[in-house]
Amino acid sequence: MTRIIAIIKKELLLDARQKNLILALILYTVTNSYVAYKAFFNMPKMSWNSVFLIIFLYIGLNTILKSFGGRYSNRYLHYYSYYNPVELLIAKIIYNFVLLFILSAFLGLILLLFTNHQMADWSLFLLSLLAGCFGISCCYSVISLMSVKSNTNATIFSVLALPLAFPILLTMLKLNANSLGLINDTDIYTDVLILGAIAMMFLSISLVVFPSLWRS
Amino acid sequence: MKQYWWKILGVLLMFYVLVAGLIVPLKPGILNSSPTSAEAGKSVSVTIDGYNTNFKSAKENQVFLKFDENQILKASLVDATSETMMNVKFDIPKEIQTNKKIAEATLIIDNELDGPALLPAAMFVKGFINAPSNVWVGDIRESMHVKSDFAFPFRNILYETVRNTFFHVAIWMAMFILLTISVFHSIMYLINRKEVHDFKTNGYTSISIVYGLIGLATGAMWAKHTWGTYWTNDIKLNMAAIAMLLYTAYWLLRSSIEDVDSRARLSCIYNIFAYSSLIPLLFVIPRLTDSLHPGNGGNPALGGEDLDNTLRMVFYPAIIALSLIGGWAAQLYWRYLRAENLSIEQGKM
Repeated sequence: MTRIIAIIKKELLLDARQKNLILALILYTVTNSYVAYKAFFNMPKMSWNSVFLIIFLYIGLNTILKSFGGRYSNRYLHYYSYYNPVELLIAKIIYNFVLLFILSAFLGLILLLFTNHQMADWSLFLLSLLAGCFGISCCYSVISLMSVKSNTNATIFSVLALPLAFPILLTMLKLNANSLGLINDTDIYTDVLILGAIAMMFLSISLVVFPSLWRS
Repeated sequence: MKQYWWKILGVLLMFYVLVAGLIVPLKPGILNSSPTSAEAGKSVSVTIDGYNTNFKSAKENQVFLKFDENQILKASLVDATSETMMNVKFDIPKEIQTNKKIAEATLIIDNELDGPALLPAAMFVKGFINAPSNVWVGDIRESMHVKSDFAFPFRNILYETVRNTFFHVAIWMAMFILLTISVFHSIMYLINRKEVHDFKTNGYTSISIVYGLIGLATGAMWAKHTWGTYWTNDIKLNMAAIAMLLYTAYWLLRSSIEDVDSRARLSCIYNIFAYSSLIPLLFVIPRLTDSLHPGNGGNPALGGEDLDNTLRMVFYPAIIALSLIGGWAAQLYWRYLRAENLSIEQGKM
């Protein structure tokens, strides 16, 4: 556990040194939401939901799918020689999860600010966002390592990663519609449980599969 | 010869499914009746359109209008004009006991050749007084003729397309069985790194995609006949389309990597992920939302009254037959892949 925390701290330190990275992610979020806002002119709540999910998915693809390659590729040897793969994966998942959660909560705030909508149920929104971010972070962290290992064009992996997130996105679509007040389901917390279960399933598969991917 | 038993079994079962599934007739039923509304206290003559019925040859045609368990009206005049056409006359009483504004009745016909058949919501009666009446006949269940022919149930809206159960539903089940086998081989490959498991994974997955496409095609045809369009916004259809996307991505991944070892490893890992996101797509999310499919969003699932015993006698063999034939096709395909790989290694190609 302490070693996992040490890896997370190291990641944070390395990212914090390159301030442009954080700035780039924030700018990406703001620009995307502003483009969506301007394109819709007068965005109804139904579209708010879909726009939020699409931008959320792209933030996920951008931040997590490059978490082993891209700007991190120079650290790869360092990872390889010092860390236990499972510990590294857990640390990466937690780091990516927190990053994605902060960014997407920020995205939700900005979109609400632009469009002047009110969230009916904040706790449900944040809960579904937590579970969704966790599932996407579990799934995409492994896909990210796959894209590094394959030595091919990295864009192909964003195509591969898209359909994998569908179950998470569809459940979140329904949950967000509830938290926006578009529909009112009585038994909505079962859906939160299902989203959590999907995330847990991705986590367990990632943990099982990761070492065999790492070894080569 | 001994090791081929499952292929022979698959072919025989498939033959049985094709013959039984397409030749066994439907049970007699009522296509429609007109008119569908009447005034209380007057007599109304109704024309009944039957399907697979023997009105003319039957000695005794009984026709009833059933308002509820205790209020059943017998037709006062029955005249069979042909095997599938019948004119009947009902003397509808002035008094009907119901708390609705319009009384709704089910039409029941019965004769000794066809057995009973019914059409729900066949007659709507208005202008009645909510009071007891003495024209009702008692329990009619005793007088019904029980038939035990081997015939598929007659269902309104579905009619003859009920046979598609053996092909459309069974092929999705067989696809899921094949995908499970392919995931098993993916895991085996990651454990012992034997190339043959990678070929098997590829073979089973490819046949599953073909099965999925056939499933979509048969489903589209069925949807055209029952729901009126080839494609609806139904959740299960979208889930099936996404499932196809997932496995097309698997093909894309395989074709994009040159190196044999890393291709095998990465595609096996992707296959496990794809399968694990397929389970919520096909089995969890459709149950949460409204769907036209049975078993989803409040519709009854398979079993219950959707699948009666005669359907089961063909449906379960259909699943087994399609899985066995799919397994055979997958075996041929992975052997081809292995042979191709061997000849590349030996420099013959």
